[in-house]
Order: sequence, then structure tokens, then C-alpha cells
Amino acid sequence: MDDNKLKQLLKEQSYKPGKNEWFTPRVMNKLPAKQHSTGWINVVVNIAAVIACIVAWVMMLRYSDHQVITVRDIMYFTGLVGVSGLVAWQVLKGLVLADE
Amino acid sequence: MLSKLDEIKLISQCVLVDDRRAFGTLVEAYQPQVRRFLLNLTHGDDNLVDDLAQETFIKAYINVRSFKGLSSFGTWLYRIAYNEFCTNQRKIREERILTEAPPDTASEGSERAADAAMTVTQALQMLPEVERTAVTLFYIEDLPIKKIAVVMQIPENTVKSHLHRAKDKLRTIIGELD
Repeated sequence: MDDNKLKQLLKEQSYKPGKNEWFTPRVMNKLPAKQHSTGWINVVVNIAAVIACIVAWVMMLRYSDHQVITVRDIMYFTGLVGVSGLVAWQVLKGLVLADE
Repeated sequence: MLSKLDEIKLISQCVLVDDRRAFGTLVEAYQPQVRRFLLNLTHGDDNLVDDLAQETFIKAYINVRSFKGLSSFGTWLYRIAYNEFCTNQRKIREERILTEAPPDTASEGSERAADAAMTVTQALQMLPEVERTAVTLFYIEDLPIKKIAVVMQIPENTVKSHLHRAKDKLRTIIGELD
């Protein structure tokens, strides 16, 4: 029996897997939890946000006229407090997640 | 079947952004050949094949960053699948030693070759594990000797001698049937 005949016989008589449409979904469900591969992006964004807040606070304290407080000053101050709080919350959340 | 370019694109998506949808496409594309390979190694045990194939793809997902592209993705999957099969066989052997059960007749059943109902595939199951793997990869999966050596992690000459011995045995068994 030559090689080609043997190959043909093996191909014809070998086991052939039936169609299993649940195989892929089952594998996908068993995959381990996603890695936090975007962690470094969060760190860079957080650092940039903290620097921007510091710059904004310095500018406000340096350039605003302390004798006269305008509606614009109040709005600027309120907005900065809000943004600073949000940034601080994001940074704290990032630190807690990194600890976990 | 995926083109080489699509395959590289999907693997890159898995490595760079942990894209599960891309990995799902790879599983869908490669699962028939991985399951067929395992099916021929396990004497057609569907349940065992599904378990081993699932474990193969989960290991591939976990280690996809270590895939260097030196061999094709399919060859890399065959290698993981073969390792899974060997680990499973080792477990079965250890359990058999512990329970002192009689060995599987398929591995030593050359007497069964005389059975008139014997097929080439049944004859294949009589071969030792390494010879059966080499024959399956060469004749059924159409892999070249070089890739079989990568999958089985043995030198090319050893693959050739396994194939040579296996062919002689298969010819003898099949010749008895003719």
C-alpha cells in the first residue's frame, strides 16, 4: 500500500467533529476576567488633571482682584471647586482599585 | 478560513487591547481543526475532546502575549492541544496505577488486528501515542514534518522515524485485513 492510498484511507475513515455551535460561546464564557491593560492611560490622565487643577487654582489666586468679587469670580471658584473635587475622587478611586 | 493578514490583525487586537470578540473569531476559525486533531487522538471521545479543546483555547487566550509568530497560530494551537492531551493521558495513567485497573486494550491489542471489522482508523488507535500523533498530524492534518516537530517538541528526524515505524505497522495491520 503506497503513501497516497494510506493517506486517502486515513482521511476518509478518520473521526470528523460534528458541528458544535455552542463550543465558541462556552469558551468565551470560561475566559478569565479582563486584564486592566488601560491602567497606564488612567494614571496619565489623572496626573494631567491634577496639574491642570493646580495651575487653575494658582492663576485664580494670583490674578483675581481680592477687593472686588464679581459674579464671574464666584462662578469660576464654584466651577474649580467642582472640577477639583471630581479629579480628587477619580484619583482616590484609582488608588483604591490599584490596591485591590 | 482566515487569511494570514486577518489572523495577524486578530492576534494583534487580542494582544494590544485584550479584544475578546477578535479572540472569539479565532476560536470559531480554528475549533474544527483542533477538535478533529484531538478526536483522532482520543479514539473519538467527544466529551473529552470538548474539555481538552476548551482548555486549549483558554490557555491560548491567557498566553497569547507569549505567541511570537515563529510558527503559525494553528501550529501553536496544535502544540497546546497536544500538551493538554499528554497531560490528560498522564493523569489517566496515574489514576490507573492508583486503582490498579487493567490497562487499556487498545494500546496492546495487536491481536485485534485480525478482526474483520477493523478499519484503518481502528488500526491507528493501536499505535503508541507518539506514532499516532505523528500520523494524525501528517496524514489527516496535512502538516509538514517541520511543523510536526514543533508541535511534538521533538527533532525532525525523530518525527520521520516515528512516521516510518507507524506506516510499517499500519501496512502490516491493514495487510492482514486485505
